[in-house]
Amino acid sequence: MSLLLSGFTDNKPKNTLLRPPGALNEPEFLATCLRCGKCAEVCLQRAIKIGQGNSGLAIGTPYLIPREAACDLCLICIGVCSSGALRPVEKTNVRMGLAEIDHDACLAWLGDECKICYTSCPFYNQAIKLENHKRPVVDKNVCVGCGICEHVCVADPAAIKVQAGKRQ
Amino acid sequence: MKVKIARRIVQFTAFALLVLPLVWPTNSVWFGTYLSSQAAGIALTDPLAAIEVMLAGKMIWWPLIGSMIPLFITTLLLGRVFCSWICPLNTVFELAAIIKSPRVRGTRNGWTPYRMLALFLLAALLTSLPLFTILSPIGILSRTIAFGVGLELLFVVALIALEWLYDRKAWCRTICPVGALYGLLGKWRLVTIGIDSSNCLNCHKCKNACTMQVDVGSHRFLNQLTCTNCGDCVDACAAKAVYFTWKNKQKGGAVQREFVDGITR
Repeated sequence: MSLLLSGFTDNKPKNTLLRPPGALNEPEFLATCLRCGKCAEVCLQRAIKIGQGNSGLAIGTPYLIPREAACDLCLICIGVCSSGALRPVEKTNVRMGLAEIDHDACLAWLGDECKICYTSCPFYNQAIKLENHKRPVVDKNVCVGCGICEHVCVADPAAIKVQAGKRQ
Repeated sequence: MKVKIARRIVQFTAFALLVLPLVWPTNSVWFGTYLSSQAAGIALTDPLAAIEVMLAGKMIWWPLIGSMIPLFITTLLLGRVFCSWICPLNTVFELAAIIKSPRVRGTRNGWTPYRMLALFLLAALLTSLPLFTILSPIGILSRTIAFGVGLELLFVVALIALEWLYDRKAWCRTICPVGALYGLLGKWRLVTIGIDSSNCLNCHKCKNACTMQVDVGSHRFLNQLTCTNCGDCVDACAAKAVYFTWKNKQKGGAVQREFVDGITR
């Protein structure tokens, strides 16, 4: 039920809020989050936002819009979470979501010269690799879904996007 | 010094703390909201929110239980002081009362907050959602101050309107399960209000000053649970017959207790 009701978040499809690192899966997260906002207040990147009345059951819960500000994996938010909604995790084991490249919008895939996501990725040459030294490809097993690639993408709207909920 | 002045200082400090992380993001003094916060490195979580979350999540999370303990102990010793000295919603109600006096219906305190408490705890277990924490106007107000205005603020506005149109502290007295839980925890508090019966003039100023509609000095169970130790009655007494005291050390002693009970029943 909680999964269904969490659907009407800003008219986005079900289960698409990008949660901070270490978050439980969505139904458990909605059950456990205290809606206190401590994670958002300590976020150095000011990347964590807090859901408001139009978020339905996700009111008061933290989420990220990487296009505006991306997670730099400092993991301070996990340390201040009292409720256990954000659980301690190694940086490499964070699974916020998964970056996906739209080949019809990505400049590199369209033939231009662009490596901005490749060079900005905190897991350099691991999470995003280059095919033929040109076209970026995401490695599902390494990508943590931090959203830095989406944040820096020069295409508008971004050609690489972190899909939340792809991991659960 | 009047108790009210001290209380206003604490209330406004508590209110101002909500803004502190905005103006000074990396401070180590205080951040969070009144659902859960961190003061000088110590996590403080509202006991109801913590219990609800554990029921909804069907789990025991020790850091969460640990973060409840400071407020738990404070309430055991001092009673519902969160309500009267900290709660931002109560502060707003009292500010609203300064602007325009609330309506006072003079009804006795009932059991509904405690039924609400049981209902919300059961609902958390059944729906796997911390329903009260989601709805909590205390949380809504705290987050509005810390993160900006949203649609949900209308709920708080409605509750303020209720003050003027329906009854003073209607939310606190008839619904709020947070207060109900604090009330139950504070039943055996050490600091209480005492009455010196030899000085009492029976003027009822203390009773009229009480915003929670408590019959001051009465040992009726519900009055005991509802008293927030705010001290308004202490200020109101011209004869200085009402005062804060340690439990069972009333100047009138046990005799006075029996006497009051005899009168009110």
